[in-house]
Amino acid sequence: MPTDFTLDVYADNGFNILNRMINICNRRRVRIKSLTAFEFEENIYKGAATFVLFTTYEIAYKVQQQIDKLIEVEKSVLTEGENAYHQMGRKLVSA
Amino acid sequence: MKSSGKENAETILVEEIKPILKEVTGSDALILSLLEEGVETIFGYPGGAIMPVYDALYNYADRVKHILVRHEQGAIHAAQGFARVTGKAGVVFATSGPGATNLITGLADAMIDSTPLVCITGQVASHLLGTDAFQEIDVMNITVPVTKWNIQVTRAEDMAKAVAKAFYIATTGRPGPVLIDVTKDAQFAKTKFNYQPCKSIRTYHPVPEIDHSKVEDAVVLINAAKKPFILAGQGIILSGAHKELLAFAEKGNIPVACTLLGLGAFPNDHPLYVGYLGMHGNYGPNKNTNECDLLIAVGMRFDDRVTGDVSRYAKQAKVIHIEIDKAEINKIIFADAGIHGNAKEVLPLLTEKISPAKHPEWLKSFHAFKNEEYNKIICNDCLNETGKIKMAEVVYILNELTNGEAIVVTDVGQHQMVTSRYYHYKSPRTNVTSGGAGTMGFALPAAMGAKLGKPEKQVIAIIGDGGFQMTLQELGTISQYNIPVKIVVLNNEFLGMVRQWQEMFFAGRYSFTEMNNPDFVKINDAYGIEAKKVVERNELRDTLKKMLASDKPYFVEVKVEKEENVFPMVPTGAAVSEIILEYKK
Repeated sequence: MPTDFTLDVYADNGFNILNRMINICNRRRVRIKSLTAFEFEENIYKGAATFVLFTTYEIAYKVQQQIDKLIEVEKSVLTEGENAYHQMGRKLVSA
Repeated sequence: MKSSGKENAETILVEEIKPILKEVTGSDALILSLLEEGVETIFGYPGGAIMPVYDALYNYADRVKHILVRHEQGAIHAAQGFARVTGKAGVVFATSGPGATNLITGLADAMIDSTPLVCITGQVASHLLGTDAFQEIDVMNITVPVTKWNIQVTRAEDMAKAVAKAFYIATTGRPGPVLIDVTKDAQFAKTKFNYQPCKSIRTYHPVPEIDHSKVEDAVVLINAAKKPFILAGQGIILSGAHKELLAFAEKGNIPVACTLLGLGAFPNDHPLYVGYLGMHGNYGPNKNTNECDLLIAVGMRFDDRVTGDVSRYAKQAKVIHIEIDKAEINKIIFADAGIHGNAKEVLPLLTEKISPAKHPEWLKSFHAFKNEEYNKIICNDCLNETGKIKMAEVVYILNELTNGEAIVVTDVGQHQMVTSRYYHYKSPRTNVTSGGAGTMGFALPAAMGAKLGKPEKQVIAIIGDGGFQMTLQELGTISQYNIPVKIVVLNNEFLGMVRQWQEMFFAGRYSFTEMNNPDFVKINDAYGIEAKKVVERNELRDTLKKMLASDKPYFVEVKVEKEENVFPMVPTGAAVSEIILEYKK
């Protein structure tokens, strides 16, 4: 059953890294309910993005695997739930 | 005064270092960086936004060969052919706008077939980015889905680092295409050149750490299996693991089948080789996929042409999947033991730990299928004495005349499937074809690149009449540089594979698949390429012999049966075990 998943991605900052991540979701027709992206104040060469995806666990996991593969991506964390800013209410399903 | 030997050596050394210390343009930095990476051949086509790079290239014409193609698609397919036979990254130059967009098909092809490429495109000056300037196209965004990585260089001082990183990314891990888009101001600007090869990237880990517990799991599965079956993919070839695969298969007496791109990963004449997998693959391996109790998939990605209906694919079997690209594990087929790693490293670990075994009954079952396929299909395809020439006969003779040792480049369609079935590739990096993307027009330029990459090898392009006409302008390149590729066009005056599907699945409604072709011999004559047309069977062998003996480019058109179908076939939507040997209307 589709539900909300939050995918936090930490990456080196680059002009099209966000575009690459969005493309991976779009290609699988995964609905992006919200997206927050920012660069770290202390190091603008690094950034993070938080996607709230509405899909099945299987697809969310596969999206995460594809995003992890991107050259600039350092780490991603997939959690069930839609709270983009706080861990409350989210259950870790894959890191 | 005469200089001493030592002084001479020092003078030479200083001369070598000088260009490194002095300021160079971004364009020079690009060419010097390519030289540092050992690039000897570039395939390209100049235009406005890349002119400074071409101007710089003029100074290095004695150190790097530039092949002027007739279309950018030809450049990228040629670079793919070069990369596939050499294992090195193919290098492409193109200008901005349409020059860059003409690379897209090749990038997509290289991406899905894991071919290392470094493509360099010119771009308008950085102050014009986003202004819809002449020949400004957002190549960075357009190429996102079809590149492993891309970067835009807007400052000359970033050039060397970008090139170093590009080669590292293209050739490590699962290889793939990268693109460097260079703005014109960065090409003109001056910088100090100091090249440092890229050896690592903080966030990129191309050499996976092997999880030994998964290896142990796999060993348990292999030792328990009664009917194990190896599916060998291109990953074997890319990682140079063919010897490791041989040792592994021989110790466990495990039958091996290859995927389309894996052909050549395992010697075709080995007793454990049971054939080729896929929609038009061999009967036995497809049938027995749904009979085995253990699938050992190495360096392959369970393409839908291999699996048929996934829901009915090897459901009875445990699965071991060895793959360098972690995202491929569990993507299509669940793996009981998914080993993220390089086949060259993983296979010896397994070989060391598995028990020697024999599976006589299991191996015999493949032979029974092989005999059935031989009697019903292979005899009729290859050993005819009457009727129109069949595609398979041509490939069968070529295989015999070259002893399976040529590099054979195919396009896409019926001739490709026939070649995959009847050309018995003996070594890695001798099969060059467009697999995942299925790009018609691939073969002619790819063969050109393959020949430049391996000039000592016989390189034969086998192409259908449809695909040949998609990139035949590259005959001009072949002629200009006298690249001695051998071109065989199997002309059935149809888009044969589409026609076969129309016959089988669309009630024989041949909707726009018949072709009214030009005189291919005359076209080759116009390009100064020796050409022959074969219509009669008794001319075929001698003409092919003559072609192979030539040290120049040579073209042979063979008029083949118009409405021939390729069998066996796993019909679309069917399970692999439902492979058919014939079609009943």
